[in-house]
Amino acid sequence: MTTTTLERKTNTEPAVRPRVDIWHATDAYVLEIEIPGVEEGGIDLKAQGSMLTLNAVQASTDEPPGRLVHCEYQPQNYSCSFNLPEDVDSDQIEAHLNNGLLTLKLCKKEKALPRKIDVRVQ
Amino acid sequence: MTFLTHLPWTKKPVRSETPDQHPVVSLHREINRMFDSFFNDFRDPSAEDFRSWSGFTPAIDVSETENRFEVSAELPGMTAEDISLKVHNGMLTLSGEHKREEEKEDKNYYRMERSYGSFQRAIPLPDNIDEDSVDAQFKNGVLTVSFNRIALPEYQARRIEVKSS
Repeated sequence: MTTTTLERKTNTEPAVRPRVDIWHATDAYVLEIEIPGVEEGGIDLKAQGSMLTLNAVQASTDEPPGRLVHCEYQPQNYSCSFNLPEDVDSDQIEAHLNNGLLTLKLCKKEKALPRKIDVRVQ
Repeated sequence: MTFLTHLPWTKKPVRSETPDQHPVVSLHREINRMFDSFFNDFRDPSAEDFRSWSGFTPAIDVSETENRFEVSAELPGMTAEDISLKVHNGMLTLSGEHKREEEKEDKNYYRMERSYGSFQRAIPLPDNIDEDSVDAQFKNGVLTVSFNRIALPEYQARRIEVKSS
Protein backbone atom coordinates (compact mmCIF):
# COMPACT_ATOMS: atom_id res chain seq x y z
CA MET A 1 0.00 0.00 0.00
CA THR A 2 1.16 3.51 -0.75
CA THR A 3 1.38 6.07 1.99
CA THR A 4 2.19 9.72 1.72
CA THR A 5 5.61 10.47 3.14
CA LEU A 6 5.59 12.67 6.19
CA GLU A 7 8.51 15.03 6.07
CA ARG A 8 10.11 16.27 9.22
CA LYS A 9 10.51 19.99 9.57
CA THR A 10 13.97 21.38 9.94
CA ASN A 11 15.05 24.13 12.29
CA THR A 12 15.23 26.57 9.40
CA GLU A 13 11.45 26.46 8.91
CA PRO A 14 9.80 29.84 9.50
CA ALA A 15 8.49 30.26 13.01
CA VAL A 16 4.78 30.24 13.67
CA ARG A 17 2.74 32.61 15.77
CA PRO A 18 1.81 30.94 19.06
CA ARG A 19 -1.67 30.95 20.58
CA VAL A 20 -2.04 33.78 23.05
CA ASP A 21 -4.49 34.89 25.70
CA ILE A 22 -4.27 38.53 26.65
CA TRP A 23 -6.14 40.11 29.48
CA HIS A 24 -5.72 43.04 31.77
CA ALA A 25 -6.43 43.65 35.39
CA THR A 26 -6.22 46.84 37.38
CA ASP A 27 -2.48 46.82 37.83
CA ALA A 28 -1.12 44.83 34.89
CA TYR A 29 -1.58 43.30 31.47
CA VAL A 30 -1.07 39.54 31.28
CA LEU A 31 -0.06 37.58 28.20
CA GLU A 32 -0.25 33.80 28.27
CA ILE A 33 1.68 32.39 25.35
CA GLU A 34 1.72 28.69 24.42
CA ILE A 35 5.19 27.56 23.39
CA PRO A 36 5.20 23.80 24.05
CA GLY A 37 8.59 22.10 23.82
CA VAL A 38 10.63 25.27 24.30
CA GLU A 39 13.08 25.41 27.18
CA GLU A 40 14.05 28.49 29.16
CA GLY A 41 17.28 28.89 27.19
CA GLY A 42 15.42 28.96 23.89
CA ILE A 43 13.48 32.09 24.74
CA ASP A 44 14.52 35.50 23.45
CA LEU A 45 12.26 38.23 24.77
CA LYS A 46 12.94 41.86 23.94
CA ALA A 47 11.20 45.10 24.79
CA GLN A 48 12.36 47.85 22.48
CA GLY A 49 10.51 51.13 22.50
CA SER A 50 6.87 50.23 22.40
CA MET A 51 7.52 46.82 20.81
CA LEU A 52 7.70 43.54 22.67
CA THR A 53 9.19 40.75 20.58
CA LEU A 54 9.35 37.06 21.41
CA ASN A 55 11.40 34.44 19.61
CA ALA A 56 11.26 30.92 20.97
CA VAL A 57 13.42 28.16 19.56
CA GLN A 58 13.01 24.42 20.18
CA ALA A 59 15.87 22.75 22.00
CA SER A 60 17.86 20.49 19.74
CA THR A 61 18.10 16.88 20.84
CA ASP A 62 20.93 14.41 20.33
CA GLU A 63 18.54 11.59 19.56
CA PRO A 64 17.82 11.20 15.89
CA PRO A 65 14.11 11.76 15.27
CA GLY A 66 12.10 8.72 14.36
CA ARG A 67 10.07 8.25 11.24
CA LEU A 68 6.80 10.15 11.50
CA VAL A 69 3.75 7.98 10.98
CA HIS A 70 1.09 10.45 12.05
CA CYS A 71 1.61 14.17 12.28
CA GLU A 72 -0.51 16.97 13.67
CA TYR A 73 1.93 19.48 15.08
CA GLN A 74 5.70 18.75 14.94
CA PRO A 75 7.91 20.78 17.27
CA GLN A 76 8.16 24.27 15.86
CA ASN A 77 9.74 27.59 16.62
CA TYR A 78 7.56 30.48 17.68
CA SER A 79 7.71 34.16 16.98
CA CYS A 80 5.40 37.05 17.76
CA SER A 81 5.45 40.72 18.63
CA PHE A 82 3.11 43.02 20.45
CA ASN A 83 2.62 46.74 20.64
CA LEU A 84 2.93 47.78 24.23
CA PRO A 85 0.20 50.06 25.52
CA GLU A 86 1.39 53.47 26.64
CA ASP A 87 0.67 52.82 30.29
CA VAL A 88 3.05 49.86 30.52
CA ASP A 89 6.29 50.23 32.39
CA SER A 90 8.69 48.38 30.07
CA ASP A 91 11.23 48.00 32.89
CA GLN A 92 8.73 46.02 34.88
CA ILE A 93 7.98 43.00 32.76
CA GLU A 94 7.90 39.67 34.53
CA ALA A 95 8.20 36.44 32.58
CA HIS A 96 7.56 32.92 33.84
CA LEU A 97 7.84 29.70 31.88
CA ASN A 98 5.82 26.80 33.21
CA ASN A 99 5.10 23.58 31.30
CA GLY A 100 5.28 25.19 27.88
CA LEU A 101 3.27 28.23 28.87
CA LEU A 102 5.04 31.58 28.97
CA THR A 103 3.26 34.08 31.18
CA LEU A 104 4.23 37.72 30.83
CA LYS A 105 3.08 40.24 33.35
CA LEU A 106 3.35 43.77 32.10
CA CYS A 107 2.98 46.06 35.07
CA LYS A 108 1.23 49.34 34.50
CA LYS A 109 3.03 52.59 35.23
CA GLU A 110 2.30 53.93 38.64
CA LYS A 111 0.77 57.03 37.09
CA ALA A 112 -1.71 54.87 35.26
CA LEU A 113 -2.94 53.09 38.36
CA PRO A 114 -6.17 54.27 39.90
CA ARG A 115 -5.51 56.54 42.83
CA LYS A 116 -7.66 57.00 45.79
CA ILE A 117 -8.30 60.64 46.43
CA ASP A 118 -9.10 61.65 49.92
CA VAL A 119 -11.98 63.98 50.25
CA ARG A 120 -11.47 66.46 52.95
CA VAL A 121 -14.40 67.86 54.75
CA GLN A 122 -14.08 71.44 55.72
CA MET B 1 1.35 -2.73 6.72
CA THR B 2 2.32 0.48 8.42
CA PHE B 3 0.81 2.07 11.46
CA LEU B 4 -0.86 4.69 9.29
CA THR B 5 -3.39 2.17 8.08
CA HIS B 6 -4.69 1.67 11.63
CA LEU B 7 -5.67 5.28 11.95
CA PRO B 8 -9.12 5.78 10.52
CA TRP B 9 -8.84 9.58 10.31
CA THR B 10 -5.62 9.77 8.37
CA LYS B 11 -7.26 9.58 5.01
CA LYS B 12 -4.85 11.28 2.67
CA PRO B 13 -5.61 11.26 -1.02
CA VAL B 14 -2.72 9.71 -2.85
CA ARG B 15 -2.06 11.51 -6.07
CA SER B 16 0.35 10.66 -8.79
CA GLU B 17 2.90 13.37 -9.34
CA THR B 18 3.36 12.95 -13.05
CA PRO B 19 3.63 16.16 -15.07
CA ASP B 20 0.44 17.15 -16.78
CA GLN B 21 0.49 16.77 -20.49
CA HIS B 22 -2.49 18.89 -21.37
CA PRO B 23 -4.16 21.95 -19.77
CA VAL B 24 -7.50 20.12 -19.77
CA VAL B 25 -5.93 17.26 -17.83
CA SER B 26 -4.52 19.63 -15.26
CA LEU B 27 -7.83 21.45 -14.93
CA HIS B 28 -9.57 18.14 -14.43
CA ARG B 29 -7.04 17.27 -11.74
CA GLU B 30 -7.45 20.59 -10.04
CA ILE B 31 -11.23 20.12 -9.87
CA ASN B 32 -10.74 16.62 -8.46
CA ARG B 33 -8.39 18.03 -5.88
CA MET B 34 -10.93 20.66 -4.84
CA PHE B 35 -13.59 18.01 -4.42
CA ASP B 36 -11.18 15.86 -2.45
CA SER B 37 -10.31 18.63 -0.05
CA PHE B 38 -13.93 19.72 0.26
CA PHE B 39 -15.11 16.29 1.34
CA ASN B 40 -12.04 15.74 3.45
CA ASP B 41 -13.16 18.62 5.61
CA PHE B 42 -16.06 16.49 6.73
CA ARG B 43 -14.47 13.10 6.79
CA ASP B 44 -11.04 13.98 8.04
CA PRO B 45 -11.46 15.51 11.46
CA SER B 46 -7.72 15.80 12.03
CA ALA B 47 -5.78 18.58 13.67
CA GLU B 48 -7.21 22.02 12.97
CA ASP B 49 -10.64 21.01 11.72
CA PHE B 50 -11.16 18.80 14.70
CA ARG B 51 -10.01 21.43 17.11
CA SER B 52 -12.29 24.07 15.72
CA TRP B 53 -15.45 22.24 16.66
CA SER B 54 -14.54 20.57 19.92
CA GLY B 55 -13.40 22.52 22.96
CA PHE B 56 -9.88 21.26 23.37
CA THR B 57 -8.14 18.50 21.48
CA PRO B 58 -4.40 18.23 21.92
CA ALA B 59 -2.40 17.73 18.76
CA ILE B 60 -0.47 14.47 18.59
CA ASP B 61 2.48 13.19 16.61
CA VAL B 62 3.30 9.51 16.23
CA SER B 63 6.76 8.37 15.24
CA GLU B 64 8.77 5.19 15.26
CA THR B 65 12.42 4.21 15.17
CA GLU B 66 13.90 0.77 14.83
CA ASN B 67 13.21 -0.13 18.45
CA ARG B 68 10.96 2.63 19.83
CA PHE B 69 7.38 3.64 19.17
CA GLU B 70 6.50 7.10 20.35
CA VAL B 71 3.34 9.16 20.75
CA SER B 72 3.73 12.81 21.72
CA ALA B 73 1.07 15.38 22.54
CA GLU B 74 1.18 19.13 22.99
CA LEU B 75 -0.36 20.12 26.32
CA PRO B 76 1.02 23.58 27.12
CA GLY B 77 0.12 25.01 30.49
CA MET B 78 -1.07 21.71 31.91
CA THR B 79 0.49 19.71 34.73
CA ALA B 80 1.18 15.99 34.91
CA GLU B 81 -1.66 15.67 37.44
CA ASP B 82 -4.17 16.93 34.86
CA ILE B 83 -3.30 14.11 32.47
CA SER B 84 -4.53 10.53 32.56
CA LEU B 85 -3.08 7.75 30.40
CA LYS B 86 -4.35 4.23 29.86
CA VAL B 87 -3.22 1.31 27.78
CA HIS B 88 -5.86 -1.31 27.17
CA ASN B 89 -6.57 -3.77 24.38
CA GLY B 90 -4.09 -2.24 21.99
CA MET B 91 -5.39 1.29 22.56
CA LEU B 92 -3.59 4.17 24.23
CA THR B 93 -6.11 6.54 25.75
CA LEU B 94 -5.07 10.03 26.69
CA SER B 95 -7.55 12.09 28.63
CA GLY B 96 -7.67 14.98 31.02
CA GLU B 97 -8.93 18.42 31.59
CA HIS B 98 -7.35 21.73 30.78
CA LYS B 99 -8.72 23.95 33.48
CA ARG B 100 -8.93 27.65 33.16
CA GLU B 101 -7.53 29.47 36.14
CA GLU B 102 -10.09 30.72 38.56
CA GLU B 103 -11.97 33.61 37.10
CA LYS B 104 -11.01 36.90 38.53
CA GLU B 105 -13.58 39.59 38.38
CA ASP B 106 -11.28 42.18 36.93
CA LYS B 107 -9.98 39.98 34.10
CA ASN B 108 -10.74 41.80 30.89
CA TYR B 109 -9.84 39.77 27.83
CA TYR B 110 -8.40 41.25 24.65
CA ARG B 111 -7.57 37.98 23.00
CA MET B 112 -8.58 34.43 23.80
CA GLU B 113 -6.90 31.88 21.55
CA ARG B 114 -6.06 29.13 23.97
CA SER B 115 -8.54 26.31 24.43
CA TYR B 116 -9.76 24.75 27.62
CA GLY B 117 -11.95 21.87 28.63
CA SER B 118 -11.96 18.10 28.86
CA PHE B 119 -10.43 15.98 26.18
CA GLN B 120 -9.95 12.36 25.27
CA ARG B 121 -7.98 10.84 22.46
CA ALA B 122 -7.58 7.15 21.69
CA ILE B 123 -4.57 6.08 19.69
CA PRO B 124 -4.53 2.55 18.27
CA LEU B 125 -1.22 0.82 18.96
CA PRO B 126 0.49 -1.48 16.50
CA ASP B 127 0.98 -5.19 17.29
CA ASN B 128 4.75 -5.10 17.40
CA ILE B 129 5.15 -3.19 20.67
CA ASP B 130 5.53 -4.27 24.26
CA GLU B 131 2.67 -2.63 26.16
CA ASP B 132 4.40 -3.23 29.50
CA SER B 133 7.42 -1.20 28.45
CA VAL B 134 5.38 2.01 28.37
CA ASP B 135 7.14 5.12 29.63
CA ALA B 136 5.55 8.56 29.84
CA GLN B 137 7.35 11.86 30.33
CA PHE B 138 5.87 15.35 30.58
CA LYS B 139 8.35 18.10 29.83
CA ASN B 140 7.90 21.70 28.74
CA GLY B 141 4.25 21.12 27.99
CA VAL B 142 4.89 18.12 25.75
CA LEU B 143 3.83 14.62 26.79
CA THR B 144 5.88 11.81 25.31
CA VAL B 145 4.69 8.22 25.64
CA SER B 146 7.09 5.61 24.34
CA PHE B 147 7.05 1.85 23.94
CA ASN B 148 9.69 -0.72 23.06
CA ARG B 149 9.12 -2.38 19.74
CA ILE B 150 9.38 -6.14 19.61
CA ALA B 151 9.92 -8.50 16.76
CA LEU B 152 6.86 -10.48 15.82
CA PRO B 153 7.28 -14.11 14.85
CA GLU B 154 7.42 -14.43 11.14
CA TYR B 155 4.59 -16.32 9.64
CA GLN B 156 5.54 -18.70 6.90
CA ALA B 157 3.19 -18.99 4.00
CA ARG B 158 1.71 -22.45 3.94
CA ARG B 159 0.73 -24.17 0.79
CA ILE B 160 -2.73 -25.64 0.95
CA GLU B 161 -3.61 -28.51 -1.17
CA VAL B 162 -6.79 -28.20 -3.18
CA LYS B 163 -8.63 -31.45 -3.34
CA SER B 164 -10.91 -32.32 -6.12
CA SER B 165 -13.70 -34.80 -5.59
